[in-house]
Amino acid sequence: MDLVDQKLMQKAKRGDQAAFAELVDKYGDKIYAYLYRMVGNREDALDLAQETFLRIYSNLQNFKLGQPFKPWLYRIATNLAIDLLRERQPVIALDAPLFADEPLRLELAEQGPGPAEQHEQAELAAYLAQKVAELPANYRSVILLRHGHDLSYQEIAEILQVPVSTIKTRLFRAREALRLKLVEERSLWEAECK
Amino acid sequence: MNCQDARRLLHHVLDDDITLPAKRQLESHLQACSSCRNVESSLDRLTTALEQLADVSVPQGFTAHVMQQLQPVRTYTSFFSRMRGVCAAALLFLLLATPVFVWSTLSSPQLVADDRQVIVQEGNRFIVPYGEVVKGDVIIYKGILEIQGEVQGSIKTVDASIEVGPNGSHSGVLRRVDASPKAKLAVALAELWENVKCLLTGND
Repeated sequence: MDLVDQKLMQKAKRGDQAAFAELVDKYGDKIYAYLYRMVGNREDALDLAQETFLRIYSNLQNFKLGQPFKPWLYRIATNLAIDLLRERQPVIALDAPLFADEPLRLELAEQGPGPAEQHEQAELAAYLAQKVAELPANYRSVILLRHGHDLSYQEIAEILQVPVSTIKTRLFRAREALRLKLVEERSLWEAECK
Repeated sequence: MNCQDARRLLHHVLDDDITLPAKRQLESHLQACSSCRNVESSLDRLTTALEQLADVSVPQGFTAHVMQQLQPVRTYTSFFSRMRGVCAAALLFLLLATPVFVWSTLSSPQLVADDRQVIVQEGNRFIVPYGEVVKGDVIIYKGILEIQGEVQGSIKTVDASIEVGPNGSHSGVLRRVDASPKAKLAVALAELWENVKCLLTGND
């Protein structure tokens, strides 16, 4: 359990706004990134990220100290994302890619591979983002929470309110599906280059 | 170990959900099987790329914007903790005022009686005038109780004396007490109680 989070939540519960601001600062990027991948555009992601933290704030008194903060935060964010996707469902075809109108900006590590490989890596990530967006929402959330947001099986099970065994199954299937897409893409790309 | 098992275990490795013996078995299978090694490396590429998807920064000023929209927190505190300052001040006042009151009460002659209004005070003399009847009990401290009328209740004197006039009478119990601290305190508390009663009932 993150003791820093507990300390900050304890202060925030007592009305310390600076402590709450620190939590927003700490998790703002991650929650926004998660919501962006969940809902597919920056505008909605920003709205939902704000709403997530406002809900945290108005429910401060319901948070019991000693309860882990991070799963609680992601649970609120996930529920908001799912609600939005449900609202949209009638108008958006299920197989429509989420990121069609969005140029992908990926920030690469500074000490990464050379420019050519970087380009390849960025293209790969863009392609993958597309494929992740095509997954059903309940698979998408599992794979995002596990990779990039460092949550354990148990935490993800808590966030999504499903058994750990379900999480394991979804993770396996989602990763296999994505891996096969990557392999496919790579062989196509290699064939083009030859 | 067959390839199907190995591929399942490769996923478990990613989640640290594998026992050490199983991991050893997997490693020896991987050394022998190049197609499973390919699966391993594609899984590695996948997870690296997935982690990159989380590298998105929220627009600048996000925290400030959230903080601006906060509603005041509803805190569930009890009446006493909200009024903590007021309660503390009241308690302090009581603590300071009580000894002052006790001291000022005890520095002058006092008479406590249910029928206080019929008794006339002249200096340190308390007079029950001729024709008046005091039905209740009387406590007198430092001074003289002069009875020209009638006292039916009991009389308690603390450091005080009694003079009964030619037509005066006293039919109740008489107790004389020396001015011990305990007796003084009893007088002061009786006087305090009288004052509180006056305050509460609005009588003078």
